[in-house]
Amino acid sequence: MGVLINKETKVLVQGITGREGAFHTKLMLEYGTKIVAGVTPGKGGMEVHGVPVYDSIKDAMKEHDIDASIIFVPAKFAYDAVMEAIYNELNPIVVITEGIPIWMTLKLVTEAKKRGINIIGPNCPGIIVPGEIKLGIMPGHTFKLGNVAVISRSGTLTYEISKLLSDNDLGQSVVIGIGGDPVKGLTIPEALRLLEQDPLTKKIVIIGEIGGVEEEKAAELIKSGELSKPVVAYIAGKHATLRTGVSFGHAGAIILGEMGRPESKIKAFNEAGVPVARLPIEVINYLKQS
Amino acid sequence: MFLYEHEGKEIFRKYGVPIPPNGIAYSVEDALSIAKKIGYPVVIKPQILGGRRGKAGAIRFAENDEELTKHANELLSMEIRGERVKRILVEKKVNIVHEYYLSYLMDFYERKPIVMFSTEGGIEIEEVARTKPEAISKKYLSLDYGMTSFIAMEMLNEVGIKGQEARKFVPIFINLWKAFSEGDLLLAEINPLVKTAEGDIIAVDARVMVDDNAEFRQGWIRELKEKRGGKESLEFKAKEKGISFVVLDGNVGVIGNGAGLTMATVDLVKEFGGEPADFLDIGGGAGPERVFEAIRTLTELPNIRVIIMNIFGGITRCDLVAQGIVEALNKLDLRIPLVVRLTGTNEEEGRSILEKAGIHAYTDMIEAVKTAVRLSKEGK
Repeated sequence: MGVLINKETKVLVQGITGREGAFHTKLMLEYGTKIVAGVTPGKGGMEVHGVPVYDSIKDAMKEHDIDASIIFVPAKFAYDAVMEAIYNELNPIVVITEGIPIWMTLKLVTEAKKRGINIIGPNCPGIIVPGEIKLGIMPGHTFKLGNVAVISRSGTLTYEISKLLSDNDLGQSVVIGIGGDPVKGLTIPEALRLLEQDPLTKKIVIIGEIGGVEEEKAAELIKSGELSKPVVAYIAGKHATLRTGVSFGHAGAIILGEMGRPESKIKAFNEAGVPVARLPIEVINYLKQS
Repeated sequence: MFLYEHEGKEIFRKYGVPIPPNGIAYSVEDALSIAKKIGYPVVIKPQILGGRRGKAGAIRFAENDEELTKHANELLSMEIRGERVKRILVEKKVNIVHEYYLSYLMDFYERKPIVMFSTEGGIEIEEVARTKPEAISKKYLSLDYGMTSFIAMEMLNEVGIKGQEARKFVPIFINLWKAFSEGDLLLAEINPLVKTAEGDIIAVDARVMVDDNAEFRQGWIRELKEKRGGKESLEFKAKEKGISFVVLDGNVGVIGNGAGLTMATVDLVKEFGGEPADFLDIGGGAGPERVFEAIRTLTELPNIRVIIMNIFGGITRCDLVAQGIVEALNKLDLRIPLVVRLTGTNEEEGRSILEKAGIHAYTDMIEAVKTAVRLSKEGK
C-alpha cells in the first residue's frame, strides 16, 4: 500500500548522471526502490549503479515499464525535464531541484493538473513509504512504518520530527515533503485529501512554516469536516516576524504584508481544533493524546 | 526580492509604462543637478524598501534650489523605521487630477496571476476593498493569453471608465503585464497611477517584487543586488557561497542545515529568552568549506556573543561539518563560544573530530539552545 507510490512503483531518475542524481540513485536502490532507468540527454548508453541511462524518456519507455519520475536536473534545465515527464504521462513526478523560477513552475503545474498528474515539489526532499519505497533524498533509517502521516514544507525539520516519532513508537504511513517553494505541485490541503483516503493513515502531522496561505486553507478544510483524521501541527518561523519581505531559506518562507504571518496560521489551526506544538517534541505528546 | 521605487520605475520605463522624468541622488549635489535637468517643481522621495513613507513625513516638495537643498539634506540623514536613507529620488512633480490603482500579482495558492484595478488610488488597496469594493475590478488571468485589450476594457468599464477615456489606460494594462510576465516579477503595483491636468496617465509610484530564482535568465537582478549595501550586501555575499542568510538584530548567532530546522532553531532561541542575531542555513550536503564560511560570516555581525550550530545530518555528513568547525576554530579569531548540536549521518566520526579539538557536541537540540542562550547572557 502507500499514498501515490508503493513498492511496485517503477521509477525513472532524470538527471541520473549528475553528482546528486547518481548519489541518491544509489541510496534509493539500497532502500529498495525499483529504479528501472535513468535519463540524461546526451548520456544515453551509460550505466549508473547498474541502471541503464537513456537520452530521452521516450527512448527509455521503449525498453521499460515506467510509472514515476524523480528529477535532479539543475534549475536552468529543470523546466524542460519536468515538461518531458509530463508529456510522457509519468505520475507522480517528484522534483527535488531548488531554484526553478516561479513563472516556470506555474506553467509546469498548470499543464500537469490538466492531465491529472501529481507533481511533488519543486525544492522538496520527496516522498517515502517506510519499508517500501523512497522517492527522495531523505535519510531512510530515520523512518519507521506505522500509521502517522507527515506532510511537510521542510526537509531537515521533517527528518528531525520523524526521528522523534520513530523513537517514540509512532511509525509513519507516508512522509511527503511538499517543498519550500511558494508555488508547488501538491499543497497541504491537496495532500490532506489524499491522506483522508489512505487506509493506513490514522493520524496526520503538518509541518508548516511562514509564508503563503496553505496552513490557513488546510485549517478551513479540517473545520469543514471533510477530514476525519486527527491532525497535529508545527509551524517553523514563529519569530521570523523580526524581518518581513525577505525569504528565510525557502523561497516560499516569506511574510508579505499581512500574508504568511505565523500568528495567522496558529490561530487558524487552533480554531479548527488542531493543536500547534510550540517545541518539536510536543508533537509527540499531542499525537499520543489525539 | 523587493525593488526600490526607482529600480521598479526603471523597469516600467523599459516596458513603456509612463513615469515622470526623474533621477536618483546620493548627495545634495546629485539632487541639484537632476533638478536642473528636469526643472522645478520636484518631489523628493527617500528610497527605502519599507513603504509608508508618506506617513513618516518623508515625501517632500521643492520649488527651487534652496528648498531642495534643505529637504535633500534632511532626507539623506534620515532613518525610517530602522532603515537608513542612502538615496533619494528627485522627480518632476505632476499635476494630479485623479489617483487610480493598478497591480499584477501572483496568487501562489491558486497558482494564477491576478490583476487589480481601482478608481481609488493613493490609499492601500485593502482599505478600498473594505470601504468601497465596487471601485475595484479584480480578475484571474490565464497563462495562455494573459492580459489583452478586451480584458482591460472590460475591467475599466466595470468601474465606470468608458470610451476615449478608457482607451488611454489600455496600453498601460498591456505594458505592465509584459513587464510582469517577461521580467519574472511576482508583484508589479502602481499606487497611485495618476491622471494629470494635461490628460496623461502616469505611474508616480512603483512597488515591484522579483523572483530571485529567475536570476539565471534575468541578468539585471544580479546587477541590482551587487549595488546594494548594509545587511543586504552581507546576505548577498553569503548567497554567492550557497548560504541562505538573514540578518536579525539579537546576539545569538544561529546556524543550521535546512531552512525549516534553522527557522525552528531561531524560534527556540527566542522561546528560551534569547535574541537571535540571524538565520543562516548552510543548505543540503554542505562540506567543510561552507561550514567554515558560515562561521566566518557570523563573525561580521558586531553584536554577536555566542553561536549555536544545529545540524541534523541527512544528506549533510556530520564528519564534514565537524572538519569545517575545527578549521574555523584554527583559522578564525573566534572570541565567542560555539555551541554545537550534531546528530545523524556519520555522527560518531563527527563527534570524535570535535572532541579532539576540545568541543563537546550535544545530541539534543533543546539542551544545546538553552546552553547558547545562557552563554549569551553571561559576562555582560
